[in-house]
Amino acid sequence: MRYLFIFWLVLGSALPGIAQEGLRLTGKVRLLEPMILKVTGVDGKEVFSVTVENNQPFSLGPERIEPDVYILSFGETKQAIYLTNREVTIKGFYDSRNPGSSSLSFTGIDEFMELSKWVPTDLDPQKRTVKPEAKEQLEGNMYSALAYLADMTQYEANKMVLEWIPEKNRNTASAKWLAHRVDSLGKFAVGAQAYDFEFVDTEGKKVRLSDFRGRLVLVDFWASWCGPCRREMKSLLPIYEELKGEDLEFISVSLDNREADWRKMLEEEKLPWVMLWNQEGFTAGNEPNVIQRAYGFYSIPFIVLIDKDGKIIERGLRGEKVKEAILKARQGK
Amino acid sequence: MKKYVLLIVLGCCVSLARAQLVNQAAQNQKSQAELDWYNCSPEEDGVYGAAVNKAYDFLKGKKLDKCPVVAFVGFGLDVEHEDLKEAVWTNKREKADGKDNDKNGLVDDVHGWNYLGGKDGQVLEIGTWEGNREYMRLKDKYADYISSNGEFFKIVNEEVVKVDAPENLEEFYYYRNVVQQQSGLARAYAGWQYAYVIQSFGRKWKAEMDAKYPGRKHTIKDFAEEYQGIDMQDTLRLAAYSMIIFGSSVYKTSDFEVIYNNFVENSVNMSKKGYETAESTTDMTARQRVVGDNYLDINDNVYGNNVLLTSDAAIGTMAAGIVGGKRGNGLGGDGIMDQAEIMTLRVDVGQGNPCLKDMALSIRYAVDHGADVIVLSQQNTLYPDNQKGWMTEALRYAEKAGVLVIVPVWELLQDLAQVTYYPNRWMDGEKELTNLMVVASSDKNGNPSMQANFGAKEVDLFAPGVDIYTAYTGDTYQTGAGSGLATATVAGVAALVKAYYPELTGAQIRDILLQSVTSRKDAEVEKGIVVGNSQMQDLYLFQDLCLSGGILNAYNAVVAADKLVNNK
Repeated sequence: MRYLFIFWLVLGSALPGIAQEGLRLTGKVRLLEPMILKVTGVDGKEVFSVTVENNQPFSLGPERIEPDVYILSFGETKQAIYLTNREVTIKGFYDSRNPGSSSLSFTGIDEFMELSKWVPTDLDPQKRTVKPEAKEQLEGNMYSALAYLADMTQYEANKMVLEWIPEKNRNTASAKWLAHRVDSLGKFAVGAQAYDFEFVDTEGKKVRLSDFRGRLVLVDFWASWCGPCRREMKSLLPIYEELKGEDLEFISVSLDNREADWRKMLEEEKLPWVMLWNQEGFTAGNEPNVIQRAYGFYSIPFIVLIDKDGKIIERGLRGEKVKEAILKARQGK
Repeated sequence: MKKYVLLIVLGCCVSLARAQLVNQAAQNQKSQAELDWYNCSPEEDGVYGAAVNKAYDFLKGKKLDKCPVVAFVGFGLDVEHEDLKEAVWTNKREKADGKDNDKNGLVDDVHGWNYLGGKDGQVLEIGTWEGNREYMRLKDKYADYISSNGEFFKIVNEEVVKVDAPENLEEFYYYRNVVQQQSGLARAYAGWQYAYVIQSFGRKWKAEMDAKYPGRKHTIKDFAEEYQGIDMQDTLRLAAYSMIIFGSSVYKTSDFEVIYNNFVENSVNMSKKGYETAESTTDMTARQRVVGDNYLDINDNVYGNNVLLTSDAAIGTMAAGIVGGKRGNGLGGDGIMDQAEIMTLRVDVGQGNPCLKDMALSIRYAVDHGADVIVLSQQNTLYPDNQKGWMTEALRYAEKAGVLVIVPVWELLQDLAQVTYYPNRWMDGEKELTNLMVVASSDKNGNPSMQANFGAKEVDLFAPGVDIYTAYTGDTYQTGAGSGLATATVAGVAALVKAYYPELTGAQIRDILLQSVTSRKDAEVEKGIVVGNSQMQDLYLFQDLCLSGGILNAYNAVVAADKLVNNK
């Protein structure tokens, strides 16, 4: 391609952030076709919406809102944004046919930009966590707004931020969202009782996790089409050979959609531990399936270590960490 | 000043884009040498700009004689842009009233024309490649032929059958050697036909071996021993043999059975699937549906509409900003010639190659409506013979009218002495075109774009086109790069010369621009090139990359123009 464009770098004329009686959303944008501009709460409640025409000024509100994180939708494009009771202006170009070449600029979102400074940038949601220094820097439900923007999947990371929110601010939409998230992440956090799955083995027999009570169990979720999974399994083999014993069991759970793929892989890899197949496959439609939701993972390989009583000891293990975790667990007995 | 930007990241799901707001507060504190740096000059600002500010110092007190018209034959335009709207060309003989007031056949062509539009206001956003268009035109005649050593075959009922040679051999070889090179569809189709050759020979050979050595488990070595002494002249047989040997390395096995099952029996299915995928992902009928004209008929010339705000208008707006952005108003960059009038003729969607008919008609439209400078959006390696003449005639028409035409090179690392692109100055075999400029982009340090095509004779000069801050759709401003932006810089300077010295023709302006470059002749610069199929870097003297051996310089150009006009 000849044209290498950077699609951002836009400016907006700044208006002083004058406190107003409510949220107003005004502006004028270039459009290829009319678009619905909408603001909704994180709880899905609509604040307001309008159909915007090309180059026609629009104005929404004023609407008294709880300052919080909201979802701003331009047609199919969604942006989480912290809004307060003041005027926000938007100008620019929204390209519905090729959203990546849109160019939009905003004013009146200073709190949001302040908040954004604390959003962690780590690309892996498993590792993302807000810096502890953020405590005391923000106030009220800005913390839960931050957690929403940060989109972290670790229990501890979310729990920490939830605890920063004063009791009186716990009733806002984002605070409720965070409390709920912490709650559901807690179900598969370290120390929680592992979901007792039941899958079929190579002979078609049903096998439950609880069948292995009394032993340490390493569960590896994988699929035949997943290259990294297959490499991970190969690196599990020497660890298994070195550490195997009465007190330890390895289980590999295939998330292949087709049994034939799973069986073909078994033939090729010939691994010596328990091999199970999740008949539900990798995903249920576009949604994570039962086992993904129960263990809180959305990509594979995913490896967890479960103790003798069926409680999760470690999650998201890879490579050498597997061995370390098993050795640590054995010492702890 | 608090300025925030919405950056949109495409999610995994195509229809849903996740956005991300970014703070760009630092933008305005940057100096001109970092933003619209084409205005700057090496001696005053330390960047290899085109010395436009310096040119204005020289022109102070001189009279602007003409508001030059610059026609962009390429992408759409945001004609309402705050920094550009005063520089948008308006057809004074046309009104937006649904009637063809100026009787030029086009209704409401107020600011230009969208040749890729439909009567109902629809806009074509899907581009096609010239190679694929030629495939569509010729496939019924030639796609089914398989040629080998002067003989011709076709696949009939899955078998290779000898047939008569095609009637028009010259056209057949054009299809085979040119179109097939440039068309993904044609290659995929040929692959499918060839798969039948492999299947047919493979089946025959397996049956022969089974009969000769009943019960033997054949290995690839057995196969090679049996069939290696094949006649090199029999290219079909040789191809089938080589494919099977190749298959053994792909499947890392010597078991003939495995190769036979995966390669011979499966090859037709696989390559058929390959063709079907190529066909279903290449929309060759969009133009028919949206525009409805026959792109092969130059006389079918009343089509399109006047919608200029398109997805690709972003590209056109960036280029237009370099020429016509209002100077000194603090918005975006300063255009090189903000008194210019920018005409927009849309023929390109930003993907594929424009049809030659659209380009040729656009050039004629621009000339007929007073354009002084025409900027085309791209060169191409394939100008089919039945359409090439339209372009040459249009370019000659512009030459005769004294209109300069500028075209960017592609950023494909090629040496244009080895790969011929059109348009070029020699394209009709007559006297060299004198009004055509081919331009590549350079950066602030005076280095050529690493990726740009180059040519000691074929490229005229380099011009600022990397990291340029300019207008963008929706009263916004962005930074971009590309030889398309370099052509805008050249167009701006050409327009500046024309504005003050309107008696100069396009050919004269080209001469002036070439002779007045900031010379970099002996500078040794790093340049990306392509050798075989791999990209590498090499050191080049600037003079071996382009004819002028330098970078566009507006100051030198206006001084030279002044001398030429006033010392006559």
